[in-house]
Amino acid sequence: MRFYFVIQYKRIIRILKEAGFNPYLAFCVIAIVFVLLSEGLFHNVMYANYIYSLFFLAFINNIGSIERNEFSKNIFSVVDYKKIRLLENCIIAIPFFIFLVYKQEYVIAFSSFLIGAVLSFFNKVNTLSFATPTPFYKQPFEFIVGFRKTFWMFILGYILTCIAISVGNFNLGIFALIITFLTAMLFYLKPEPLFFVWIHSDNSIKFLWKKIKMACLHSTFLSLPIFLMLVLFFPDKAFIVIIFEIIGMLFVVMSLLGKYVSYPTDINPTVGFTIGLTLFFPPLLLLIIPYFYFQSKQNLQSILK
Amino acid sequence: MILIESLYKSYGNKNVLKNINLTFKEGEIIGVVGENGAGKSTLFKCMIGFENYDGLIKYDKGILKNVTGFLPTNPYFLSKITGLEYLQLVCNARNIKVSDLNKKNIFELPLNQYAETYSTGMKKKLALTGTLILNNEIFILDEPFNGVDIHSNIIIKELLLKLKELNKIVILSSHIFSTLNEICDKLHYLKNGEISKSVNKNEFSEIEQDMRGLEVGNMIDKLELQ
Repeated sequence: MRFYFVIQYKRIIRILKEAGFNPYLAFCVIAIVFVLLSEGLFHNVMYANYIYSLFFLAFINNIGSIERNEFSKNIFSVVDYKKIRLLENCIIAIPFFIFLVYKQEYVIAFSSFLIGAVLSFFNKVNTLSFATPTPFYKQPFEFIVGFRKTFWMFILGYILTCIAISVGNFNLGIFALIITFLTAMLFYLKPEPLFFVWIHSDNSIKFLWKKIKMACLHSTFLSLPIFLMLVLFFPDKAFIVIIFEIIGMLFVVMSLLGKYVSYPTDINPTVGFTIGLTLFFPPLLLLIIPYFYFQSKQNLQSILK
Repeated sequence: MILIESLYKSYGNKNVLKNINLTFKEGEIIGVVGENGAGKSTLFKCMIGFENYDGLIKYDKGILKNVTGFLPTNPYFLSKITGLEYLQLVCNARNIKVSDLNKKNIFELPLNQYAETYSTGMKKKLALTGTLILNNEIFILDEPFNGVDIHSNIIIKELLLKLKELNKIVILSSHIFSTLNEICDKLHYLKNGEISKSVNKNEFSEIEQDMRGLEVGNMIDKLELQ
């Protein structure tokens, strides 16, 4: 059983090294980012303690997927398997627990830890038995896959918009719009297997423009309810909504192009850092998008002859 | 016609393919056989452009990749994509319009289910359907019979013969000699990255004998099974 955790540790080290990071430095950065994000959430959002606890439980639930655990269930004895799951969940719970205790949210800290531990005895609900309907069936790819994995984020965005309108909070509505585009950006985080680019008969320019067109159309489609509601109920601020809509779309396009800069390998650290930087300073988009476009075009030329 | 001349492929210091010279003509079904790790899949990947290589691979009728249907040993499927959506995706990629994809579902697959939930054989059949609906001229099929049930095996054999009749180039790998005997016109034996033998239909048994050659000896004793 000890060997299982040694192997997991080695895997993490290898993944970080392959991504071009110094693993120990990366651990420090991850810890700092974790604290900053947690602080940011508690500082800016109402009921952050509950949302924080939900994030933690969603994360725990995710590592309990049947596919992920099939291997260990197959090779370890029943007792060892349960011990591994329990220990894994507890290890993941520790940083969340410490932060909640630091925030003096003792009840939520202990109850989340306990629920996390109990969840180790259950597997994530298998949602593969039926196909979630999506509006993107004619162009099945990033948006169809992404939508099925994160549709609840869009529902959350639409609910937040309704709340924003009912309480007259325009900023909350813009926040909902941002959530929608950030979620769509995530659809392009992981590169597809080589086969799915190779099979295209278009050259790299045509391929990229088709992708850009789809990204714009589909992200507009998903953000349209929020966009329309905000324009309708805050007509004096329609211009701001349009600006956010355009910037959001540009972010999705940047994310798309970023994926193909180092394709077929994962998004490289420089691209990741640049995307992060642009999130803090959006005018950079005007430089980064053309730069990513030319890099992607060049990179894809060897695959799409 | 596809012409391969002096093809070399290596990973670091390891030479995986050495001086491969082959020709594939229209209307032929060519088998590539060899032990596991002999380099069959690497050869296919070089041909379709998945791998870089030294040497020449030439197709006399245009860009090879745009008219090739490739069936990998383990087909790739994106998560949360149904069988029908997979077929739509490959059609879109090649700018091909098919009015009713369900009609092309000759293997009677549950196309409205996520492809990732399919069994090994079903995944292979879906990927094969994907290559067949694209009006390809060349078919490179890496172990198309693996994991597929008997009835579907018969369908695949008939399909391959139909492709031959339509003057397509069909290149496949398989370990099942009885099937290769039935459908292939020629066999190339790949051994340690080199073509060790190329034979016509009536000489397939020579390669089969060579491949059976390895003695089992005391291999099993080494496991010290209890």
